[in-house]
Amino acid sequence: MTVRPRRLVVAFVVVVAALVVAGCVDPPQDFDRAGAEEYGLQGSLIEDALAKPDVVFTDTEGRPYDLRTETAGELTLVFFGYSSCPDVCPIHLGTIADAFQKADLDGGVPNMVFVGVDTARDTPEKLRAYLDRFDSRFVGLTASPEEIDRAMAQLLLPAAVIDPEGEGGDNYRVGHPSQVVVFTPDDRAHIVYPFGATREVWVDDLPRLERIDWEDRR
Amino acid sequence: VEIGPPSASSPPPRVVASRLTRAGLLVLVAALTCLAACGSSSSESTPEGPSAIVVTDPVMPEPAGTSAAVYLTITNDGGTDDRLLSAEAEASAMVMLHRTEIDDEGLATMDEAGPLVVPSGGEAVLAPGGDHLMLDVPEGLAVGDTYEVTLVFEQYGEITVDVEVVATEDVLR
Repeated sequence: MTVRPRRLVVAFVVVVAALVVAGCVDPPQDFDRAGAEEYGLQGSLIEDALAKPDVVFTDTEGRPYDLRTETAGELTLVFFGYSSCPDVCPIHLGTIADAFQKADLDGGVPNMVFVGVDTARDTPEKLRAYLDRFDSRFVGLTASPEEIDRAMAQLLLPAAVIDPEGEGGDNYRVGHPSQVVVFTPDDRAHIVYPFGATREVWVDDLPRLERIDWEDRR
Repeated sequence: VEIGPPSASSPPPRVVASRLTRAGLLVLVAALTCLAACGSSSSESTPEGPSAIVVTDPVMPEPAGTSAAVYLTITNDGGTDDRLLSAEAEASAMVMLHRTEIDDEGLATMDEAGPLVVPSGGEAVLAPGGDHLMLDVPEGLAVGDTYEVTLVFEQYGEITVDVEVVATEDVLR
């Protein structure tokens, strides 16, 4: 008996689909295409909304900074990066800074919180000088590497990679989550924006995020 | 480098698709359709001869410090594949060909990339979140300035371009 290749392919697809439905295989991030669009948004919905991390950071003035109290009830964007990052970080920050100017917002300028994962190099002073190039209102935070990893884990973000052994000297390799996590005024993160979100995406979505009623997503 | 999961106890991020990724797909499909269409219309004249490199739209987002990125598109109209071997700039101590990779979980890492192939009749795109030049620059470069960078190709040799410093928010299209 021979089995035609097409049937094998169909069988394979059915098996994979069944595994995904059964939760045995984690779907890639772009598996379900409904999500954010239902809310008129362009990011990627987080399956279960997340609370703000319970980590107490230190801001660029050296003061303790608790996201839960400092940003309570306010639209807040959180991004983990490092100041010597020449590609992903400045593009996110520059794009968001410009969108903050152009978006039609009622509740004032949202909080943009940048957590520096490269704690050895990114001192509070260096973070401040870096963020001032984009918008002096941007908040720069540091913490111990363990606390930063704990915050990222609570936000279901991949852990940072710091590899001082890599290239040696001051030129080592850093890996960081490329997505921006958005906390809406209900103090929950329902959505993240992947790298590549343009100014137009933010200008469209920020006013919606400011006013959104997540209804049954709490 | 081994990159572990966030932690053993936390589930992996489950995020749902977005208009963003769909838009990206549409752009990709449109680009492929366009490529196919262009390919068929010029199919009688396949490129011949040595590598013929053209560099378009070289831009540098206004640097927020002394490290900067350069994005550009390299087209090879010749009949021979070529490779971008390296780049240099008079005012930079180092110019490196870098590649940002973003994995399924969204982790972005950057590594030095090897020579970049520019196929005959094709192109290589250096763009945000992918291949780019990373270089150190003097303080004070501002929007509207130009910065001279020389690209070194295996076949074509050197080509010097004036890179335009642009507002960071204008880089993503």
